[in-house]
Amino acid sequence: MATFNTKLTVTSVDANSNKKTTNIGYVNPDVEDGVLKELVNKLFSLSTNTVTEIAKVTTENITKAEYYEYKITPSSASYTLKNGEAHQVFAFTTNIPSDTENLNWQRDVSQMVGMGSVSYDKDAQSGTMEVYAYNNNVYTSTIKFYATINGVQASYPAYIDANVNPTE
Amino acid sequence: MKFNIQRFSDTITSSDNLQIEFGFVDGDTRTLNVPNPRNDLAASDVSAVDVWINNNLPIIGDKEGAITNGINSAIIIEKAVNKLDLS
Repeated sequence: MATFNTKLTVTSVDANSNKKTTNIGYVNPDVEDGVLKELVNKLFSLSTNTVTEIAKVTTENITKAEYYEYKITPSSASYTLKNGEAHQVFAFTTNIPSDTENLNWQRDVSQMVGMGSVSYDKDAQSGTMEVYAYNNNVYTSTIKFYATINGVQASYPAYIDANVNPTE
Repeated sequence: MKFNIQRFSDTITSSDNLQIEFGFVDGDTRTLNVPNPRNDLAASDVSAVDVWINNNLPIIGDKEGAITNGINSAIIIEKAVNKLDLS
């Protein structure tokens, strides 16, 4: 799971023009920039330093390592889709044991794209997943595709970028 | 008055910091150092900032994103550096 840390990097100078950088970590991302600027002004009203620059920096922190037992190969793919035309087929293999019960497939999409069927041969440990364009807009939808066992995610996801472009 | 401004000093001073400890509703704390605090700094100045922070909630906790419940303490640290004679 990713979280975001928004911090302020404040550059100030002292009476001898010596630069000093002060970091104010974990500022509230939901407040307006004007409030953050006022925070800096309030804090530095306690100081003789003069603020010369305020930078707002957002970084992504991975706070939880995800571990799954099985893998889908390839773990990523990219397709360009023309509206109304034939499906693109994502062919994949896994290391899921052939005797696994209650195996299913989950697809989460960032934007709407058409989803065809998933075909999977347990013994061959390979399958296909179909995707097709849904409308005439130009956009990219990222499909997160993974295996579930008893309804619980069991494999690392494969990410498929579906670049919908009706004119190409 | 909520805050007691204290100074800890040594013989050769190279820089000062105002060390402000913020508290959060999840019990966490975080310290921020503001360089070169004013010589005339009073506890009431820190209290005014504390009131503003409590009203505007511009900072959050780093674990659960918990809101701050303001400034716990403010201390002026005078950093002393003594150069050793190595000759």
